[in-house]
Amino acid sequence: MTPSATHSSEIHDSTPSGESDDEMMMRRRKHAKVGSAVEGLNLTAMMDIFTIILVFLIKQYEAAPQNITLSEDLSPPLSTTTAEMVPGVSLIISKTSVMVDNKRIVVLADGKPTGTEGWGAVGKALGARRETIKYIGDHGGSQFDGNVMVIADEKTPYDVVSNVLYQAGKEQFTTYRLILRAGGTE
Amino acid sequence: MAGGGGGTEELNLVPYLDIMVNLIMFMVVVTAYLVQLKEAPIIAPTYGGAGGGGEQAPFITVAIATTEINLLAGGAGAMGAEPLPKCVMKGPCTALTKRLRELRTAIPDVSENLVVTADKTVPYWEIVKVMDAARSDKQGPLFPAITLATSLSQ
Repeated sequence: MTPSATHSSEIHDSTPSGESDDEMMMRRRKHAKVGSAVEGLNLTAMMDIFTIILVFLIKQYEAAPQNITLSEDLSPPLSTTTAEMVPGVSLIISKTSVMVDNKRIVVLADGKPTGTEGWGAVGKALGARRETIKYIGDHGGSQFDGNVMVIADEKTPYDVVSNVLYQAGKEQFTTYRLILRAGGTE
Repeated sequence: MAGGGGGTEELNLVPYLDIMVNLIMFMVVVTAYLVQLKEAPIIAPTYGGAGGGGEQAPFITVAIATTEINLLAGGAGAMGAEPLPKCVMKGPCTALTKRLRELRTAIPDVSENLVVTADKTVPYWEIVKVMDAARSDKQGPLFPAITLATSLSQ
């Protein structure tokens, strides 16, 4: 029990039955004058408020299935679409790389893959991801639904987007969801 | 309580409060840098005949070139009108929306599936602008389903 609550209950307990409201108020004022020296700030209420704010912020952070941080390298275009995001395998196309589930697969230089495997590396990584999801699905987890979230930088050439989507399609990812920033103008 | 003659000391809440304040500040700063994301579902790109194979209804293709936007019927011929100006990054793409509404009215059985293709150098934001312009206007939905076809100069 908090000190203030204890104090309040003591007052309440010592109140004789049949006492009028005015008498009770007078008695409380007298009692307050006796202990008028402030002994210390009661931080319990403030702590409660902070805890509630923290829980609220954490829940808000959790609500978005995929949060990305804007950077020079990755800034999705603005759009007027209002459809809510559905989580899936993330395919990020930044200015300098292509990532599958936040793992860098291909490094880009002037819109071209630099590795020996070329765009095939993206397909290979997505294929491995598909097999993992299917394995999880076979053992009681959620089934593979071919859902891929494409998060691309606004200045990505269409050639890059097209090639990456083609690789995804080859690996049975057939439901493409372009992830865009809310707030565009029609 | 303090002053109880060697009894239990009152819990010092100040360090706990410091931690809470720091955590809240961290969460507020992190949340400020996050962006609100939405999604736009699309249909898979196709090599060769764009538009989903055996579709019977006539469909419209929006071809985004480096300098202009062309509207094609069934992915083959131009629709008998002059090319449209390209969309700008900040601002509406009204010319395209208006033309698509005219086509939707002129061809009642046109497919709701709009095929979008672009030159390989066209930036991604232009594709999204065209998709936004084609989705709906003030009169209602236009072409809610979008198919992305491969780039024009593959």
